[in-house]
Amino acid sequence: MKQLRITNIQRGCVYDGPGVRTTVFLKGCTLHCPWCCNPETLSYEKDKYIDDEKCMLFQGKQSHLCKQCERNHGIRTIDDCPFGVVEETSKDYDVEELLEILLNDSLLFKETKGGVTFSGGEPLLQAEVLSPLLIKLKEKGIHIALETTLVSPAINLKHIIPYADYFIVDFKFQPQMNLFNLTYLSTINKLYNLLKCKDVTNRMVFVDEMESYKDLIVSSLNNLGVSNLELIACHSLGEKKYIKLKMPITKVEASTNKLESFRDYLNRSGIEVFLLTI
Amino acid sequence: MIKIVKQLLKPFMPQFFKDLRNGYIQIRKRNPSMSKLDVLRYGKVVRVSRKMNYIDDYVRQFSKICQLIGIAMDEEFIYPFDKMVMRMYERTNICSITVDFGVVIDSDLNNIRSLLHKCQNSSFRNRELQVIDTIESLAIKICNELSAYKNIRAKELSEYFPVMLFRKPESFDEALQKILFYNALFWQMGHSHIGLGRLDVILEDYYEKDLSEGVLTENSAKEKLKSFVRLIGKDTEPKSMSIKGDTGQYILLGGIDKTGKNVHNRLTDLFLEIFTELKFPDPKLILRVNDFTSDILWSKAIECIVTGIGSPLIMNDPPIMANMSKFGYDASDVWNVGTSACWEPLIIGKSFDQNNPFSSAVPIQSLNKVILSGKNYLSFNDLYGEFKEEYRKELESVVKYLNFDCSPLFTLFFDECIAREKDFTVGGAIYAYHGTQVLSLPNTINALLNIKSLVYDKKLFTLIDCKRAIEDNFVGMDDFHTLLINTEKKFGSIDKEVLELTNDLIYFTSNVVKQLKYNGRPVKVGFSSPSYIYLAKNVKASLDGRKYGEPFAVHISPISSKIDISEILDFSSKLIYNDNCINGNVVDFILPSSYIKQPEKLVGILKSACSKGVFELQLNVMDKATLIDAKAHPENYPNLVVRVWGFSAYFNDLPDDYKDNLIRRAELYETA
Repeated sequence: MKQLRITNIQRGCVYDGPGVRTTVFLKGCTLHCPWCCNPETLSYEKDKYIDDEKCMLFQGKQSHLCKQCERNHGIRTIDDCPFGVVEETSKDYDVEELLEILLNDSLLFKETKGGVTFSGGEPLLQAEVLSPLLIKLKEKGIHIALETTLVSPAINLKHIIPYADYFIVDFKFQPQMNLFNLTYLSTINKLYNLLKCKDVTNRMVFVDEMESYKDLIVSSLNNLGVSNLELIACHSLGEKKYIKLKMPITKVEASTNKLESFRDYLNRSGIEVFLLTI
Repeated sequence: MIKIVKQLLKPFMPQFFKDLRNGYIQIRKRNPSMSKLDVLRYGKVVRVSRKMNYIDDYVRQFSKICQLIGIAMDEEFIYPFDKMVMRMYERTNICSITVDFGVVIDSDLNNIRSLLHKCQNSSFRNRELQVIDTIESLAIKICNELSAYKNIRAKELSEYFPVMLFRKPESFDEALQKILFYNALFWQMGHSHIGLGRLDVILEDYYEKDLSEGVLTENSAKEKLKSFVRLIGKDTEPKSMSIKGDTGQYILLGGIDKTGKNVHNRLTDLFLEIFTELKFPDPKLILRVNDFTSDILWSKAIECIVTGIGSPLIMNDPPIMANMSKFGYDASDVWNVGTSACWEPLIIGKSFDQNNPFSSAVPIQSLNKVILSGKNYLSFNDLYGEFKEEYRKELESVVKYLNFDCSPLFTLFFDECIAREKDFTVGGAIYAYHGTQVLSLPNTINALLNIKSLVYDKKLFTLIDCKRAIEDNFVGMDDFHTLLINTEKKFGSIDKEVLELTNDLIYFTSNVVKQLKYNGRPVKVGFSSPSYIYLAKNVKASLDGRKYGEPFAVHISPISSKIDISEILDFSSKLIYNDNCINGNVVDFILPSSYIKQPEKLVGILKSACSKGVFELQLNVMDKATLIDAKAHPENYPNLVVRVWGFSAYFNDLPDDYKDNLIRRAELYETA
């Protein structure tokens, strides 16, 4: 039986849809946004954090437990380090196993009109395995949300749509993404139109470079029929994860001035903007 | 040199001077901001008379004190508490009592006199009659003093003295004055941690009547209530016990009434609004919640909590009341549950429960003792069994007989005392279930989990290493210390093994305490001792990773940044408290900023936690950066209020070790 590959299950989330939610981060994404704060979700393949800060040797401390370590020319690989230098970024869950965890908060979901949000990575990429879970959640009356870029085959979205109540759509109109092209726009347009009968929150990460492309962004949003948008400034809170994944860090800036100016421009263009802060 | 001379002369000092000296030391302790000279100049010590029975002596002292106290006449109300007058007593202080101020304001001293005249026990009767005479004399004295003032307010107040002592109040204003008058007297007699109880219930009729008759407007009533609260909190320093702010003064809101109906009236809201607006650290608020507590009331409570004042503490009625009934409180009394200053439940107006008179049991010390014995245990279960035996001895040793002080003053207002013709403290009060506390439960659970994992399961270290770590405070054992801190399973996690171990230890504690009796009565136990800093000071390192002298964990709170609020609430709702585990079980957590920005979602989280059975909740709002800056630049943060254990205080007033502990905890939970 196929399993869902998950990097984190975070309870008590208040920003990922209505009410209080449990957010499930699914692994795998075809886009590699340079500001991504969940770099462990980029590859679907199993990978590991290597946290050298936990290594006794790197800290200059002695331990008899390190004598056999490969870093001390021993035979034990760092995968077996008792200090946890190596840690799997993900875990595979059966649908039933995950369902049990998620239902732990059903009372809270009912109380706050919250539910479960699937995020990532791009959750649509695991749509086939995800849909049986969604069916079971639906049977239990749990509200379901998806945070998605919509960059996925349409069939994946069709697997999900009957069960998901709410979508947070994350647009990729940042110049770094090089997605001002017909392929992206037409895919998004097609999939976005499938969400017409659903509750949708539009969201976009702001980076300074967007200021120079504001006309293009507005016209793209207009084409999609987006009339309101949550804007969130890019941040570097995921930096430590890049270090632990040995991935290069790309510096991306979001200055308050430019963010506000961009917001004002969008507002003037008829797109109502709400600034999200973390 | 002077010290040596003083020590040499001490045995030759007459008792009179010893008493005076002790008295002035007490006054100085209570008023640390005053100079020694001023304490000597203005302090008045009311000594113990060793020729008299201690209860008669109390009555004598009461009379003397009421003659000595100076009363401020320039406040909105009369509050006859004089911080410079000190009653001395040699017995154990009776503390953390909540009088039913509903009974107090309804009281008519002449009716009580009539009841007393029917008493057979003449010494009891005469003592209590003398107390009433003294109260009346003080009220007359106040009336006379007020007549010297020509302002309107003095005239209004003078009309209450002494007549209010002989009638139910005729107005909201008079009801507030009557509460203040008696509250001040209780404090003046050295009874500390006086709870104010259910003021929304007690004052509702007076408030509504005055509003409907146009005597008051909502605004004028609010102003009166503010003045009332200010007066209660005015003498924080002399009222505090161990550190400034620890006065135990609480106002209880919500809950249910005698008929079982949920309480939420306009005064419930008004108290919350006033505290949200003025951010009083003292007194504090406690909110009793149940399944019928409305979202509106929850929202107002959260609004108050997110101001950062740590008020209100949330008490979850259903599990508390159910356990109290099972323990031995009459089911018809538990609707009126209050607390002993912090969170230890008792019955308002009926309990002489001393919930914190003993030293706390510290299981981590028992575990250390087992490890330090150097004995080898072949399995974790062997070691755990030996630890339990040590812990049993520790628990059995904490409940000791104490010679409590008396209170002929409380005796007048507590149910049954007059009928039984006994002082409140010697069988007069209906309930006298005393309680003890367990400190360091989270540390102990973490240490046990660590030993199981690192010594027995993974075999990375030995018990000899454990012994050395405790003795040497981890010096030269960074690797071991790192592993202890970072092991996956921690107190507060809903992992099966963690929950089973925690519940097993709670169950064991409950069973041992069940065998203990005080004056033939069962003893209660709780897991929320306020002594987590003080009692940890001389305790050696422990195998949860705590170093020598570092504070213990606070109450039912995690010591791991990996456990967030959802998990700790879930965890605590799965803890099984037997009927005697009712002496306060508080989840103490520092709220993440995301919840502060979306308070309506926090309402849902807390409501759902209460539905699942969480006992009590105390929530703080602090961020590490602010606290660090406040420690370095106290002048910039004169109004920064933080919750400490059962009380709130200005951050600047706290000793450094308390400030450091709050900074450490804020850091831990910020990353959760």
